[in-house]
Amino acid sequence: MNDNDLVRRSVAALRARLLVVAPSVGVAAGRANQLAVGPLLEALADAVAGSSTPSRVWLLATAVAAGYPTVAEVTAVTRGLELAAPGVRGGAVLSGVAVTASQVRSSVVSIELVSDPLVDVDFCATHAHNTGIQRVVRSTVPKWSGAHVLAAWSPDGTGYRRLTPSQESLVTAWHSGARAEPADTNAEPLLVPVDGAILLPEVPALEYIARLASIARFSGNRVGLIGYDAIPVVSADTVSDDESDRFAHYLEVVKHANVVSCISETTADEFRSLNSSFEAQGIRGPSVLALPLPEQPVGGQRAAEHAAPVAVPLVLMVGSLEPRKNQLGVLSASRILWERGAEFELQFIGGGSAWFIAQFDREVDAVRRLGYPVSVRRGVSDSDLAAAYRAATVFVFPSLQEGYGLPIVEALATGTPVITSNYGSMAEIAQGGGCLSVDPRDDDAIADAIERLLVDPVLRESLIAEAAARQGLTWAEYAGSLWRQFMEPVA
Amino acid sequence: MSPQISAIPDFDKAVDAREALAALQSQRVEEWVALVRFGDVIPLSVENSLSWKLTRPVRLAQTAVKVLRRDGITRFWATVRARLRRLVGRS
Amino acid sequence: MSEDLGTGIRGVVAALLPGKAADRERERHRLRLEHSMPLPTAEAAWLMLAVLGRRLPTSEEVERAYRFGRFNGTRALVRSIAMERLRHPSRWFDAKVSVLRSAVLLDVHDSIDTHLLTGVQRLARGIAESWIPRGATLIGWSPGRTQLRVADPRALQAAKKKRRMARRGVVPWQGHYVLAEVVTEPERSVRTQALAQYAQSRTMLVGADIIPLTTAETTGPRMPGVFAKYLAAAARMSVVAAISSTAAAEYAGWRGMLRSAGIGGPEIVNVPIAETAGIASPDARAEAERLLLAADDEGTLPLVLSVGSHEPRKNHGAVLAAAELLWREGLRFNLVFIGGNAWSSDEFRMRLAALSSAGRPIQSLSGASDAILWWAYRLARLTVFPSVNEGFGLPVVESLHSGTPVVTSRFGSMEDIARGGGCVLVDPHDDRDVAAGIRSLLLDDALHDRLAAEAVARPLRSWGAYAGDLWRILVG
Repeated sequence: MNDNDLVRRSVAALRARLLVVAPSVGVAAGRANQLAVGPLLEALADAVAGSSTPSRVWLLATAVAAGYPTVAEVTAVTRGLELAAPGVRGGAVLSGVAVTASQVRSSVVSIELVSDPLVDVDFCATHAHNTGIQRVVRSTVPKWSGAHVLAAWSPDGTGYRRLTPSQESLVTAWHSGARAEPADTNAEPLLVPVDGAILLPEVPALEYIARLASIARFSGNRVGLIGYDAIPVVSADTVSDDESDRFAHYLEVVKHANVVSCISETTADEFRSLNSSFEAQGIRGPSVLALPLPEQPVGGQRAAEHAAPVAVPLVLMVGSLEPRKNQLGVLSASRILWERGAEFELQFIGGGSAWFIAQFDREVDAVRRLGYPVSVRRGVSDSDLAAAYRAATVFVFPSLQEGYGLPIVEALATGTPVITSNYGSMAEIAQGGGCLSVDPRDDDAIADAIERLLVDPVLRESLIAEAAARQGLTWAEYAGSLWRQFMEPVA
Repeated sequence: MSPQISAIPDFDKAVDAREALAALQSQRVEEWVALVRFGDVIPLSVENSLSWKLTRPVRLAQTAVKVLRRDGITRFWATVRARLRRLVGRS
Repeated sequence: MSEDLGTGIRGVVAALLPGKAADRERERHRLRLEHSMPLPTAEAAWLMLAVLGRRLPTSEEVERAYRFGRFNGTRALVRSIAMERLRHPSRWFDAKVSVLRSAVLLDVHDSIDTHLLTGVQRLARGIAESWIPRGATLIGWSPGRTQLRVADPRALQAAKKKRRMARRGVVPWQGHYVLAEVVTEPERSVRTQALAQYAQSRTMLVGADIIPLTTAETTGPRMPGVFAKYLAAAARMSVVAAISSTAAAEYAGWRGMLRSAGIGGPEIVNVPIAETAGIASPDARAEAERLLLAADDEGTLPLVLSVGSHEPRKNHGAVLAAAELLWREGLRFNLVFIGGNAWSSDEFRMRLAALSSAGRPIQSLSGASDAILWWAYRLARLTVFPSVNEGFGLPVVESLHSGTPVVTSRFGSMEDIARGGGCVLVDPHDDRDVAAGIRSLLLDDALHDRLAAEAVARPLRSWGAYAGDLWRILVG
């Protein structure tokens, strides 16, 4: 196919897209159908210029570019329409969205208007990875009964597409060993939300944020997010610059969103604090609601009975290896106890980034050389993880910051007592019973708590009883409440 | 004589005759499509994601492609030679 | 007030142990330290790393050293720090570090390092001028950003900046430390964070805004990421002195987030920044008029002035669009921008060029001198400043103190300033509203005169008064 052919087909596709949005921006279908592409664009531009509603500008810009425009582009089109004379307004639109149009890789893109909520499950649809956020998404989204459309980004990052069957099964029917298929994305149509909603149960990747911010600000669609945490700014010293950078840009979407459902009261507190910081720029920010995550054991089934007591007690910590999780504090606390003569085995489960694994392994090796029983396990399957929770005498999780603390409730749901931090979301969970709370920055406090649980069977039994009596949400209940929070208008 | 604020200045010449206008409008759409498909629009995000040091070679490459497409290979080499001569300070 | 406790093990012993450290022999000092403090505290570990290791440590390094000391004793820690330094040839030539007890250190590194005179440098200079006579010490950082160095007090003024800093490193101990600028080097931020945590000193950060976090779309590439590290240092300070009530509210919101990490966070106080009227020297008047004023057939055009760099946050695109709307209405005025280019200013320049070539009376000056700037404020009919977020909005008060009314944004620090009079408030995200604000001040003489009178009546606040307030909060 030569260039001229392609241009002709691209122009035809552009005209088809304009016909789809014409009624929504105020040009009757009957009239639109009779116009050639140039006059058609002009008619739509005139209609949008007359109303100067941001959602119409966004819609026209999206139809012309075949991708979602950025904030700068919508602003440029708005200004162009304001200043251009009648007869050349189409040019203003074309000029304004040229950059996004040039980033759309496919030449012939059709569009589909969608008024049902679009659910962005991009990462879960394209990655087999399954921790934290992915667990939440895969346990929640498939349980939504309200009408919605699952969506992933096109490879060029310019707009949403429907999921392919294999992408959909990766979201709704994930299983251990599932694999993502590379280069598996619908070519078309581009999904264009109109008077609908965008739901973001994941934290979007940096490259999509500029377009999402523009959707949140201009498109008139309701935008709902799950607020997981503000770790990248609050504990910035424990994450990479890039992660903080992405989070700050993510706030461009947050501040123009309608509702943020936070996974703990603590996280809700963080987002409310952010809202008060947004006031300096004349922005109120989203409604912030709290909906703590469910309490379910790994694998979904509560242990009928706990494993038989073992000769050497097992102290277990589960969580990715990173400074924030405070594995070094647990290692140090354990060494304090071993030097006092305590007998127990310490086990860490979790992967992490290479640089910290190397450093952590060195520390662990040094302790092991002293003759103390400590091990690190990575790449553990869900069933082995569930077995480890059951086998543990004590579960320790004195993280420096968490949005929620999923491993804590997983341990409690298995019936294992927990030692965790005495503030934030972890203290929130601890209030429900089954936990000892300590200052995670104090190795001695962690050591003392472990010792108490090892030597005091009465305390341990009472914590186990508390854990068994906990009443948390199921995933189905969580999914239902989340849907209501997203979709019901807030006062 | 009102100035048009636009990224691509050629698209906003005022025209009167209705028929000619309609034809011209469609022609502009075609030109625009050709431009964004095969043309010289430098995505700002590309520029932003690269530090300015990296942007220069990218710009250079884009300019080179532009000249090649517009003027053909012979003219292209002539331009490169002229630039190099200017760079080393001769002629 | 400030006391130099010496370098090396002698300085460490003098800082950590009570009593005189007259002894000159290193080995005796070491034995005394090991005897009196068999296990180090975290603060002692920080001090040993900073002085014996000759590099300010990060918090992570302090924790590791503290745990090492706890299991192996002070003696082993001292030895391991020395060995660590010997193992890396790059560290052999690190300068000696001495302990300064009870000093007031003013960290103005970037202001020493530059010839520019932006808001930040004015601030650094304003504080320094008042604090040096009170006994404060100016400090900067070593080239590798691993040591603090005492800076020459004249360094902030000198045009030729040679030998601005001493060779020897210093660490504060049981004293005071103030950070009066935004740190964009993560290396420096992480060490400042540990200093605030462990130096047993009262620490203060002068906070202008948290824009890179809350308005990331308008900041330069990578800025939000490095700014987060700066905030992590701020989280460990004793007090943040915000430059306006809006900045204080922003910081209070940020502080509220720290609870989730179990960090108490600094006290947030509002110390309004100085407001001074610039001097428009009569000598510069002719030059300023030549540069800034334009005329048409009817005579000299009213001047609409916009001051600030052309970064997206300043919203100069809206100023251009609003001006064009007004020119089309037939209003007579010329528009002058004073300010440098910044990131993403290409679009602004292109649009300005388009308007200019279409014959609109518009121009942009960069690198204008202070004298020209102050004349510009005086010659202008009005200043327009529709920024989307400001910690303070210096051009607004500069214009008001020159007697010129301002069109500015209807929220945040700009609205705060406007409460004192002299301003027309607009929605900066609405070009027509910005245009309406400018139009009202161009056409309505009564309004203009009333606002100009309000502007002149605005009370001044000297740098001395501002620096004095800061001093009281930090030192007492």
